[in-house]
Parts: sequence; C-alpha cells; structure tokens
Amino acid sequence: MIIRTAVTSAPLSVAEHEAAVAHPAAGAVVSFAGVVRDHDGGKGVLRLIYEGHPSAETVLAEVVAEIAKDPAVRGIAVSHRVGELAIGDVALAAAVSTAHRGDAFAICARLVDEVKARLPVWKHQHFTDGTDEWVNSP
Amino acid sequence: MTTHVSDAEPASGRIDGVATVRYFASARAAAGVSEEAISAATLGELREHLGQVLGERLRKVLTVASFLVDGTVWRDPDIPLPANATIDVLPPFAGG
Repeated sequence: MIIRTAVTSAPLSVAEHEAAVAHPAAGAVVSFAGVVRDHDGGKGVLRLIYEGHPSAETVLAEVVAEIAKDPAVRGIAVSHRVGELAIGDVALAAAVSTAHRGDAFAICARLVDEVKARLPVWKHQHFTDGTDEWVNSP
Repeated sequence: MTTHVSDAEPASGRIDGVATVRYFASARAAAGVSEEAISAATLGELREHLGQVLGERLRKVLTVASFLVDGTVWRDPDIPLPANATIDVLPPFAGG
C-alpha cells in the first residue's frame, strides 16, 4: 500500500498525487482538487491565506491511517497547502487507488470529508470589497 | 493577571501556575496577540477570564472554539489544568 501525506506551502498538483498512488493491483484512481474560487457568499474573493496548526501534519497522517484500514485501499496521497494562495490554486489535493471504481469514489469522498472536518487548518478570506473574513468563525 | 507577550519573544520566564495561552487564526485576530501568560486553575476559569478581559469578539470565538492542553484535546471545564500548561485556542477548522 502507498500512503503519502503533506502539509506544505509549496504548490500542489493533483496529477502528481494520481501518479503517486499508482499500483499494479489498482484498476481505479479517483482524485479531488479543492481549488480557490473567486467568490464566496455572494462576495468576490481576491485571495486566501490558509493557516495550519503545528499539529496539522500529525492529524493528517492519523486521518489517512484510519481510512487506509479499509482493505480496498491500494494507495492514498493527500496534501493540504498553507500560506497565501491565489484564485485557481489547489488548496487540497487527494488521490485514492483501489481495484474497482466504486470503492475509489467512496473512499476519496470520505477522505476529503474527514480532512475538512478534522485538519486544524484555517482560512482567511480577503474580498474584493476590502473586507475580510475567517471562514467558519464568528 | 494578564501579561501580554510580544510575537517576537518566546514564552520564557514562566511562573508556576501560569498557563501559556496560544491563539490561532480568528482567535489571534480577536485577542490581538498570538500568545500570552494567564493564571487560571481550570479551562472554565480561563474562558470566563478571557471573555471578560478581551471583549466581545473573542467571547464569540470562544463559544465555538476547541482547546488543546499540552497538545491534547481538553473539553472538561472543571478539571484542574496541569502546571505550566500550554493551552491552544482553536477556532472551527476551515480547510479544503
């Protein structure tokens, strides 16, 4: 089994994640890109800053270790970017390989949901109208 | 007692019974500092103190924040905090 996780300020490539989970027994690779978009809640977004807690790497490895217990998994690669990102940049890249496509779709969806729920990462959004917002926080 | 610690300085010269509180993301923005030393016996006491001293914006963040004490999730408001604990204030996560 291939497992690879990272929290990094370097640009992310989904294609590179897909390649990382290549496995002779895998007939399906499903990937996901969480991409910075130019709008949120009706406002225009200029840029985003992601901030990670020092434990983010460890938490990501824990989440992936849990998901990798599924015997269908042949490979998992997932990375979250931190720092300043521009519109169109990949913030979250994930790829899962399995023997058959049904498992890969389901496991990749679960992986992304779990990472979003549990990874101690925060998003500071700057809008085109000059305001800013910490997403999910009052 | 609240002692503000500047961003540039590490939390040196700690006093017994005083926790180091580290703020992240919106909590840091609301607190105006990234770290400070605060005397508190329990998490409940700390939350009450912070809400009073640091105002409405931080009080709102504290209602939805989670806490780490020396790196471990800490929910109980009444259990005594360890000596010289480092307490991280974590607003709701927003990755992805």
